[in-house]
Amino acid sequence: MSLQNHKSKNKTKLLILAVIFILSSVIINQSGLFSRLRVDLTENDLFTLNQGTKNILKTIDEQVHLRLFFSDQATENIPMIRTYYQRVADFLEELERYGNGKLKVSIIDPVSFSEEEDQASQYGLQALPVGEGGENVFFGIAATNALDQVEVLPFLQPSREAFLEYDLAQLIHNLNHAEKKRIGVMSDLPMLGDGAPVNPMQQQAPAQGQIVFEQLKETYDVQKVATDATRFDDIDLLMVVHPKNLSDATLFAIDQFVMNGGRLMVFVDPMAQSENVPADPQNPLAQLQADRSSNLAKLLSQWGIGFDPTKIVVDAKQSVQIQSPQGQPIRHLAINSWDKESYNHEDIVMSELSVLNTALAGSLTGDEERLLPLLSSSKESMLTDAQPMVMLYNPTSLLNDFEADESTHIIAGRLQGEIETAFPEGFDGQTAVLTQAQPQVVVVADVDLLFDRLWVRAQNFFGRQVFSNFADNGAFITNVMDNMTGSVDLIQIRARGTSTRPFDKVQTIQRESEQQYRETENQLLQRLRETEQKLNELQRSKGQENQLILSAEQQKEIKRFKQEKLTVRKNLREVKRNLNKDIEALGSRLKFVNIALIPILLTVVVVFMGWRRSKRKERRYVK
Amino acid sequence: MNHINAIVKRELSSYFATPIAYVFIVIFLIMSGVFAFYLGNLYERGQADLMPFFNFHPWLYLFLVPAVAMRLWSEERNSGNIELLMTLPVKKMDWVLGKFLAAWLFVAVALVLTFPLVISVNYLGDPDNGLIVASYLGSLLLAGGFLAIGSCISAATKNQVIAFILTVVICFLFLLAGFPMVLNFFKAFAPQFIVDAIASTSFLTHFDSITKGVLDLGDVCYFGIMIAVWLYATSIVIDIKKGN
Repeated sequence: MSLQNHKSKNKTKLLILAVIFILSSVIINQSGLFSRLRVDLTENDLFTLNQGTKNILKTIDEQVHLRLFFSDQATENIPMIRTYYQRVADFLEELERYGNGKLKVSIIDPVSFSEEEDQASQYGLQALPVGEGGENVFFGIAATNALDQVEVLPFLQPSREAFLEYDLAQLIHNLNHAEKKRIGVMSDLPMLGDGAPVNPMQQQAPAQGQIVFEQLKETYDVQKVATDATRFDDIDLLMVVHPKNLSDATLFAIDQFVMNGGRLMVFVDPMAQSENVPADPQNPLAQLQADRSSNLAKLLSQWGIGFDPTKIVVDAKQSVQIQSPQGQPIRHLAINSWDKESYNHEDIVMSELSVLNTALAGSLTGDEERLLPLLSSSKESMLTDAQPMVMLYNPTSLLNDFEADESTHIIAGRLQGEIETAFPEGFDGQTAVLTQAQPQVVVVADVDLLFDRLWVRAQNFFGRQVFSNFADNGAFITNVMDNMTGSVDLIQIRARGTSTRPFDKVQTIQRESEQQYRETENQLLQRLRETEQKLNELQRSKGQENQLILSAEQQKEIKRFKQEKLTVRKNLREVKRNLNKDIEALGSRLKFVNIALIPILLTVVVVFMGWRRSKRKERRYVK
Repeated sequence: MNHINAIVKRELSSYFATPIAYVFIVIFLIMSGVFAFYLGNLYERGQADLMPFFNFHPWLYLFLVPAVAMRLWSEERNSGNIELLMTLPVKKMDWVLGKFLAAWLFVAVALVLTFPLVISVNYLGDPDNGLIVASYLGSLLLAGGFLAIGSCISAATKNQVIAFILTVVICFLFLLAGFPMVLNFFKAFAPQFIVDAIASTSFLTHFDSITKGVLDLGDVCYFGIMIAVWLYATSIVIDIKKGN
């Protein structure tokens, strides 16, 4: 064989190799066959189907058809969306596999001006215009059941990847259980909009329904339940708001409702501002002194949840700024605006909330295995007596008496683990179901968060009511309802994945230094106050004696005090500046260790070895 | 197998015979640390994971791996050593594999020396260590892909600088495949399936999906095929160049 021939043969080989490479990588990528076999190395098995999801898929009665609309062409230049699309498609395939033929998945490309595009719009999918041509990108899911009921995920945001499984499971579950769920609201507070005026004497118009409930009525059948009701037969979820002195018969009924697997949501409060106590002309103080607390002690304590209706939570970190009587902005430590830091990120009902507002909330206690926190205060919080809050005109006093107790207080939580009935002997001749292994109970230690004034403003916009919310209280309630009226399987599925893993160490340092700062600040402020007071006294005594000339001693004293005042102020500034010093120092140390330490050690080793080698050579030379 | 072992040992010891290996490792360590901490804000963002560290690996490797790979074959060819090597009773593929594995091991050593980062995030918080292991594996596979390309290019030229530059360019293209600029370029004249094919050859998509924490057979196969194809191409190129 000539050399030339051999060479060209080799070149052909190279070409074949290139073709093999491209073909195989396309097949690997596009077929999806290879992604079936995967090892999930993440700690929380992010990519493995939850048992709850598998159960939901197993119990599909009639065919559910999932349509994934994805604009293939229009997303060519958006790899991020395409990658996520691949993930969703893989996941749907996985779902289909566990669906026993009852779940059908199809993928549709709604090209511009096509029938599919109209279909996508009809289902209510969201179209995002992207690219230079402003082409519409559809990336959503529309699912239908045998009754042609439709459930939609309008657009699959890559940022919501952590909740993909929950969203899809919920979608399938809803289609499988399409009837409207019934929510019973047991309360004396006028929240549903159908209540009579609180005080018939005042002749006011019937109270407007709170927007939370107006929103719930869109998806649920919301009914009022009398506070002396003893049967909750066709209710899926019972909401007990601000319960006061419920009769044993009613308590027994609630208890048995839960023992039989009913879903319960309880709102108790040490001081419900929304409770409207009628004024008594005979005793003007009665309105102020009225007990605005509520409790469900008999049931909650039996179930292992403690609630003290005389204590409220004050939190220095997550408080709201209000106007003081003097018109200056001050922090009201008992009216709180809770941000993401206070949420249990692993619980699905807290997902996508950014702010939750509460007013004079109480605190729930319970073992770790018993009470799963949903919302808790920061560590810069404490408990204080509720009663003085009625007369509190200047919230600064809260700030002055504040001393963080370094523990978080649970404001809302989920009951978990097996519970026992509070009526083991039954009641009034009725026997009781004794235990419930998977109770579905959420307890919230604030009633006010249900009320409009804490989270939403209704505006009249050309004759239409428009709501603009400044907190997510409504979304929180809707989340809990959606979650709790779903099946137990659905509740099992928790958010996963992108849950935050903060630097605990840094946070500890931050807390400590803030604590230290606050202490020093308090001491210094105290000193400053004393100094100023003494200065004032000295000057006043001067005025009283009506002497124009100060004694040298007095002058010296004044000078000394002024000096001290300056020093204290300087120290205060210093302390403030040092607040982040420790954290920055730790950062610098870590940067040094990670960037320079190993290179330095390596250099030392290399230099040492080089030196030894040259020594050895030298020795050999001498020999 | 024995041959490969011997070759790997010989190559590895030749790496550490000169200070260049140490310089390479030191540069890699400093750069990866600086990128992670100053560009990725690893400390300031307060999250116990190594995302900012691994995100920069493709771009770090883009320059450092070709520097390792450039001397694999060009040096041997330049010094004429290659004629000697080929006369030894060792299969050509053994040489290719041995040299590649040695270089890969060398990069692995550099990668392992970034262990203080893992300790740091574990000290600061509670990271997902499974995810970190997956990311290290992904990073190693990525380096392997770059090295295989470098090996082939190095076999094609006597000049190390040319080998370096060519490798950087090709690796860069493989990184960018799947990015809009490259795709648009091809879309102008090629049909859609070609564009899709190019997109699926991109290093980045596979690397990203491994660093998410799932070792997908598809991704591992991609890197496996990538390495195998380029190494086989290396042996063919050596064959072609033998006569010259």
